[in-house]
Amino acid sequence: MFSTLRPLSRLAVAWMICPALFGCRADTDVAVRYELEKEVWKAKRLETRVAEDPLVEDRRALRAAASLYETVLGTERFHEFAGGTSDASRDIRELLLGCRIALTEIYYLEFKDMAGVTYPATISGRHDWLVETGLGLRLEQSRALYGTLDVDSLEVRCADALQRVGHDPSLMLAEEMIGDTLLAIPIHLARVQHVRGDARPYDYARAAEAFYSRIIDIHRGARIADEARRRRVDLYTLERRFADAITDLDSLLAAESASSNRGELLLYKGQILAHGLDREVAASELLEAAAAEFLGTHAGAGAVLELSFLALRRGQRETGARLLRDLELNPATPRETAAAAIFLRALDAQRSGDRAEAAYLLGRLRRLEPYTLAAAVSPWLTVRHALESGDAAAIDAALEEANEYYLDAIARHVGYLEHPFVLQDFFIEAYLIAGRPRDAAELLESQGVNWRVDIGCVALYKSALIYLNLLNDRTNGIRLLQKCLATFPNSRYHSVVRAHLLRVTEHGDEL
Amino acid sequence: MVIESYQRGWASVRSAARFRNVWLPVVLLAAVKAAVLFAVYYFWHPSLHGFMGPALQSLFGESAVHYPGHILLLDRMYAAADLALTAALGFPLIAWPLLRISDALRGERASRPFAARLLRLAPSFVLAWALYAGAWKGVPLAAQALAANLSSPRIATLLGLAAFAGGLVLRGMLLYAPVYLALGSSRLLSALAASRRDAATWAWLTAMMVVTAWLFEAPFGYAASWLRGMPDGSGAVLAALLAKCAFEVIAVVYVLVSATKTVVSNREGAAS
Repeated sequence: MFSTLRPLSRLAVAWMICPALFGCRADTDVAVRYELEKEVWKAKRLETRVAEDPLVEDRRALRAAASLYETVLGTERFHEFAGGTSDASRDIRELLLGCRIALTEIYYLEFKDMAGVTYPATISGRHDWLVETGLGLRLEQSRALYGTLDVDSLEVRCADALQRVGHDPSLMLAEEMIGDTLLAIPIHLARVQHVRGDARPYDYARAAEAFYSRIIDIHRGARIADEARRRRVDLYTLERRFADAITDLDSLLAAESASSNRGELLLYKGQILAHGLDREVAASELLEAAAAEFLGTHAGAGAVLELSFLALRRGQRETGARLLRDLELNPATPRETAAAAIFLRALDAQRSGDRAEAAYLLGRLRRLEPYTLAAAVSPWLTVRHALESGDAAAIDAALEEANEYYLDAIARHVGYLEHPFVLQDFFIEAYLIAGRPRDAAELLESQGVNWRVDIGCVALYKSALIYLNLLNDRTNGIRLLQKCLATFPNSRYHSVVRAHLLRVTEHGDEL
Repeated sequence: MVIESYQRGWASVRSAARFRNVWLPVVLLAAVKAAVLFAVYYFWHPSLHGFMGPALQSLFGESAVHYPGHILLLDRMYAAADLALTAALGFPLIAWPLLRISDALRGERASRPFAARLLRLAPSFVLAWALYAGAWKGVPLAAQALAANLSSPRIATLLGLAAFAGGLVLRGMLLYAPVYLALGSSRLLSALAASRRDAATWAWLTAMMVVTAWLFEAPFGYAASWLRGMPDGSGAVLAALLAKCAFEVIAVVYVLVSATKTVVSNREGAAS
């Protein structure tokens, strides 16, 4: 009996131990799903580390996660088993789509990060009160200064990955996976293309519209469909297709009849009616209704700000000023809106020739609400006002104020703006409109070496760009690039600066 | 003290090497457990998934068949299987070596055939061993399951500590019952009463025995719990649980030999 049992027992042991010892992979949908879940989990862990602590080392973790996702998506075996009808095959399809989305988001974050250095700052959000200053337009026109770096490969990689997600037949499975980051990508790409003003192999705006429309069609009635529609409104506004934007907003308003989002949507619609379609009467009615209905909320305060803006534009200075003062004095007004109210009062004072009042209000704005967008723009505006006055002493004083505010805020690395480098762009712009780019470059160089690694690296890099692209001073430009590499060897922008230096020196002879 | 416990335990285990056919059943029990552990670990294998997948899913929920839930639950799934196997296979795989040890220590030749004695032992031994296995494996498992549903980590920790201490005390109180049955006591209740009495009489000795047995297997159980959260730790969790399985053989033999020695020497002392 034992002679029969012995080979059987050996076989049983081999059967049990074989997968453990030799990593044998059994090709069934369940086994493949398990293996895929394991790979995805590893990548997700790396991503979580990045979310917890965005340090330089964690950028490496993000790249490692991207590499894992790439490997997973490049593994033929996973795709083979995704086509079945079993539950496991469905899970595999969902997991692969999740990997595709995660990879797209990582590519996007990397592109956005680099684009923040290589393209001029764009002020996102709806800040109509800022339009009259012309700052946004100036920043867009500054691409002669910034648009020299090649981030096309990052951009194209991100756009391609997004297109694959958009065309994925399993997109209907992704309701839980589609978050704000993914939905922000199409509009961001379209904005970058708009700012750059050039033509690409394919039109990002059309791709964005197709992407959002597909999500809206597939997930009709779900939360992400509304989110996608909301982004599509941004896209239509960017393309100045205001009628389409209003149609989408009306759909959203119909769905949000009782929600707190309704106030924001009404405000948005009012802004489009007022500034896009020039229907001021309809806009005023809508905004008044929104201000009354959503009193004490962000949307309510925004509506009052818009109403005062419209009143000032119509020449009703008293009404406008009263509304703005009420906003400023109301403790329930959000800080950004209160700051914008002071900013608008300063603009109005300047327009009416009261320069002293304008200067006083801008100074007051920086004291009361220093970490707001309005305060960040105010030193630049002070310089512009001083330039309009033509008083050399006033220009010097305004630039001194700009130095004080910007250099302090950059050094503190205050995170109140969308991108940390926006402040550097505002600072440079203040010197550019004053016709003193060399002063800006010298200040960035002298201060930048003391700043935190990435902020300092970008400051020296931008200083080099001023020498190279505005002053045609190649020697100082190369010196600055080399100094940047030597001072901040651990910066995540090191490769960007190095690539630029190689290109400037053609063969890297001076490296 | 820990090293001393290990040394004493190891000496008892070495002394068991001379007992005929003591190791084989215990090793067999460990082999069965290892096989079940492999089956739980490789549930996705084509030859296993047909029955292991639905079984794990229905017993431990959907996450038990997905990574990383499967690895996070692996030690709990194994603990449940371990409890069932230990209780179910205690007779004959524990009764058999226990009879051999008691025969050897008493130095008497049994008048009846071994198989007949084993069978006569069955009803009461099955119950006594099920109680012991419950105290050994069931109490921590129940506490773990209960703690998983608690929202307060402090209460969960206290519950874990209470279950740990309570489990050790219960093990001590039930430790001698199977030995009494193997030595000829025919009634379960009297064996349980004698076990409780002996545990109280030799409280320190009993505590040392139980703690030493625990020390043999505990490090691997804790290692498995710690490793399950590590990236790429699934193989290490399996290895830790296999080691626990192997070291349990030593712990079981140690407990059987020590408890039997204690009871036999006490009887001899009383007789002389």
